Amino acid sequence: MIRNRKYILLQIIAVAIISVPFILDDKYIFHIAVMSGIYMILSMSLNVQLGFTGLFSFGHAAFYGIGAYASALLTRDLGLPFVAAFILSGLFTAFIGTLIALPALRLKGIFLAIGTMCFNEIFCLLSTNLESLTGGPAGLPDIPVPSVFGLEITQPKDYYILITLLVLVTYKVFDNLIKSRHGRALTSIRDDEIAARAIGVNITNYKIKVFAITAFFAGLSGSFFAHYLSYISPSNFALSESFNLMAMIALGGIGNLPGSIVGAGILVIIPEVFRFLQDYRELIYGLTIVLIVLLLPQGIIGWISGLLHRQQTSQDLAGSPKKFSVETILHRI
Amino acid sequence: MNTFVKKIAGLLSVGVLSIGLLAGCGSGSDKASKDDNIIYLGAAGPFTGDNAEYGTEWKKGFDIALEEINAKGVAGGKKLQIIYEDTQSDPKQSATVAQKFVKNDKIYAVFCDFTTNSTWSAAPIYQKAGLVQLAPNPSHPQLTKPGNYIFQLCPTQADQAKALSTLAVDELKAKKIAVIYLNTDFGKAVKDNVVTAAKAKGVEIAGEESYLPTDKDFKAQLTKIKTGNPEVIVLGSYYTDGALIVKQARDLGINAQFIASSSVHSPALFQLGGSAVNGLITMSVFNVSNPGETLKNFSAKYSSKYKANEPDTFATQAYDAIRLIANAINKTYEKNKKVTRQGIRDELASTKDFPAASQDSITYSANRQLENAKLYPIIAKDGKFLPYKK
Repeated sequence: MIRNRKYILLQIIAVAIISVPFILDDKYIFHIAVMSGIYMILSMSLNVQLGFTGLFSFGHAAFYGIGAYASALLTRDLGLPFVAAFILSGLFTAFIGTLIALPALRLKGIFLAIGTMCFNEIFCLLSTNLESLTGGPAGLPDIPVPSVFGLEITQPKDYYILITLLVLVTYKVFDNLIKSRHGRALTSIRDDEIAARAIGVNITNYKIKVFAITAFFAGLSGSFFAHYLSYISPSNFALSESFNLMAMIALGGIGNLPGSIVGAGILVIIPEVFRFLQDYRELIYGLTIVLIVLLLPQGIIGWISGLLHRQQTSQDLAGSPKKFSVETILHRI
Repeated sequence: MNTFVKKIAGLLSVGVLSIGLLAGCGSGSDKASKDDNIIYLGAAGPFTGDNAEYGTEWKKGFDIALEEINAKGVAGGKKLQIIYEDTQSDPKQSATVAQKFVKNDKIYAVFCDFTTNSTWSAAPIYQKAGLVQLAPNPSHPQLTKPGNYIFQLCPTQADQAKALSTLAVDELKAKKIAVIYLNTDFGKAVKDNVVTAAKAKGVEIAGEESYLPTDKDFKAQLTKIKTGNPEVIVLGSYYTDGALIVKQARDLGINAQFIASSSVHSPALFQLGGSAVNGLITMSVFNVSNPGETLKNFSAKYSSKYKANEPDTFATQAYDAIRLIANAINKTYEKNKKVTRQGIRDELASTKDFPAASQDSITYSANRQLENAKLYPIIAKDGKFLPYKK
């Protein structure tokens, strides 16, 4: 019964998403939707790292930036077509992710957090100072407009369709990953490393793979961002961006994939929505986030599904990712 | 906290969110009402965040200009009005605001933005929509490259560097100079241009040190500079960091002459730097020693309205920005009997000898940058900027 209802709900959402470009023609709204999409991919990939594997990475914005710079340089300076640059930048970011994972995984808990934070900072300093390659603090302007198999993409509406597809693909990939044997291995690492090792899970191997795959998707969204705005500069990928992503997954629910989508959507949309408050908008924005994180430690989606399934709580909640919340994380650190 | 209170509070915060959503949708679309007697202009700048103080100065300059212009009316008695949108001079937000402005066909020109990064990230959007993007403050020499709808109002770093190196070499007779600069596109441009210009004049560069926008302690950089023993130190800084650098340098016993780009030209320099900034020479974009009518008028109004000594660069450029647009609106209205975005661009591009406050007169070059930009050396002394004379 519940399964059925869920299915219908999903169908309604899908129809709504697909029909939007046909009813509405507002570039501003599409722009916000595209930006939300970019952050949805980023926060989903971070959530797989943090929420499902328990790796505290505060350097996600650096992977995002590596993808953006790689794609910009490949198309702008080497003349590669967008599709090739898009995939290559993802692969390149995954490669860097693997390289970072090798030393970083010797660190645990808060030390990993600090290590990845430093990685983010190093990336920013490099992109600011390697002027011949990255354009320095002024960034890289004139990134070519993407064309997909001969079709030039110029309107925010076209980008919206592309990013929607990309978000769906990302969701499907991560969802399958989590529900697979490998996903269970990841959750076991998160819950208890020693126990996981005891039942034969190759921890290091899994952690490196998680870093690689999440970096791959962060790189893809970076590439998309670079071509969408056609201008990037180091300030887009600063440490504050990593914290922003953290806030998104905390808001939606840590260890909750749909939660990341909702969290990213909300955090991109709220500052726009509160524009009418003028100078007070940041205040209200901050206040809302503090309230939600404080009062709904399982995130918005966790809270809503908690309300919906109140009757079958006890056995359903046991062992589900919802147990893994902001509080657990703080506790662990 | 008991669960009941928790639930109520949770409901409340989600409620606030959804009310915000509704309110935002309602007010966002209707900000520019359908009054045909008003011509709207957009201002996208740092009104909150790290650079908010510069955005505040913009508003002051805008307000004075609007009072003057609206007393007479533009394009046959219409009024000008500004729609403010905050970007925090963050490139990402600047692009978002750009999308918001271009879709609003009541907006005829836009002031955007405070930094080169945020100007460039919005540039493709304004360019595609054919909306004038007048950037009041950025001074990057290539600022107007992205398209023919971008206009620059500040003398470029190339102009500044020429003036600064002339000052250091020809007036102060320095043999060794050092540069401390903010590691952003702005500071970098100051450094590159000064170093190139100084080297061309055969001056030794005794040190080049950079710092990050968040830095508050510059002792490491200064100690390194001190070993080079320069006679003149050039600052590529804004006034907040510039004041701190000079103060810390004096504490370290560095007695070199400081000279700085025009971005430190603000009365706030004295509040932050105290007596340490005495003797600092900087460049003024406006003619302090022999002010024209426009500048005199603006200074007087600014002082009486905001109870301040004198306007800074940011307020003055904001004041000019609106007057330039108003002038273009009037001219295109005279010619075509209507106002269009395209018309404003064409008239703005052909601006010639326009009497202004931030420069004595403004003429746009083919690159939409200031032609023959002039800079005036000024020296900081006991809380005031005085014209510098040898």
